[in-house]
Amino acid sequence: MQPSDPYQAVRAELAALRHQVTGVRGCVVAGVDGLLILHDTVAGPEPHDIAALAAGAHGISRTCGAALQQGGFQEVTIRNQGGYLAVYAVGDLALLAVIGDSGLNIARLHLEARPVTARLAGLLRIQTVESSGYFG
Amino acid sequence: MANIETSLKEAMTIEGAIGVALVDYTSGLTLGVMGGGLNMDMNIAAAGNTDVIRAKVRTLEMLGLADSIEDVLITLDSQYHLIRLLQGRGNEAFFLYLALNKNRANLGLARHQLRKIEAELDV
Repeated sequence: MQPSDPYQAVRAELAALRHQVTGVRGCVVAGVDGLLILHDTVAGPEPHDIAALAAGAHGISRTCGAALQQGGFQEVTIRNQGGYLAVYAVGDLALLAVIGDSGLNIARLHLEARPVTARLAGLLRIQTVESSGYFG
Repeated sequence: MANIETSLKEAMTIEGAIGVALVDYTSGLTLGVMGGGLNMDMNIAAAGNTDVIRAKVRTLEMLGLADSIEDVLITLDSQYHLIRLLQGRGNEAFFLYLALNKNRANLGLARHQLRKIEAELDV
C-alpha cells in the first residue's frame, strides 16, 4: 500500500471487512457496469470476473426490485454449496462484492458490510471528484 | 414436539428473560427471535454469538477432544447469556440463545427449563 494511494481509506475498509468477518475471501468494488474499481483479494477468482458477476447479480436484482415495485437495489446474496457471493449497493453507481467460503457467517457479514457501504459511498464520491480532472 | 414459535414463547416465560433467538450457526442467521426490545438487537446477538460457538467448536477440535458442547454460560455484570446447542438434528447446526436479567433470573432453573425447551423443539 503506497502512502500516496488516494484509495487508501477505501482499501483499509475492505481489508478490515476481511479481517473482522471470518470466511471472507476477498472484496471487490465495482461499477454497476461491471468494471473493476479496486479490490482486496489475496488469491482465488480474478477480481475483474468478480466485478462482472457482481454487475450481473445487480442487474437481475434491480429488475426484480422494479418489477415488484420494491424500490432500488440494496443487496443480494448468492449461496452456493461451497461458498457465497454477496453484492451490496454503494451509492447508485457502485457495488461492493464479497466472496466468502462455505464457513462464512453471512449474518455477521451483512451487519458489518452495511455501514461499510455507507462509508465507501462517501469516500468514493469525494475522491472521484477530487482526483480526476474532469470536473475542473 | 413443539414448533419454533411455541418454543421461543415458552423461553420468554422463563423468569428474567430479556430475549431469545434460535440461530443456525452455519450461517449466523436466525430462524426466530423474540424479545430483546430496544436495547438488544437479537439478530446482532445471534451473529456475534455464532462466532463464539464456532471458536469453541474449533478449540475442541484443536484439543483433540471427541466431545461436544452442551451449553455455554456468559455472565455479564447485569445479565446472563445462555447458549444451548440443539442435539441430534443431523447435519443441521442450531443453538438457542437466551439473555436473562441477572437480578430476576434463577440460573439453575433457567438452565433446566431451556434444556426442556431444547429437547422438545422440532425444527
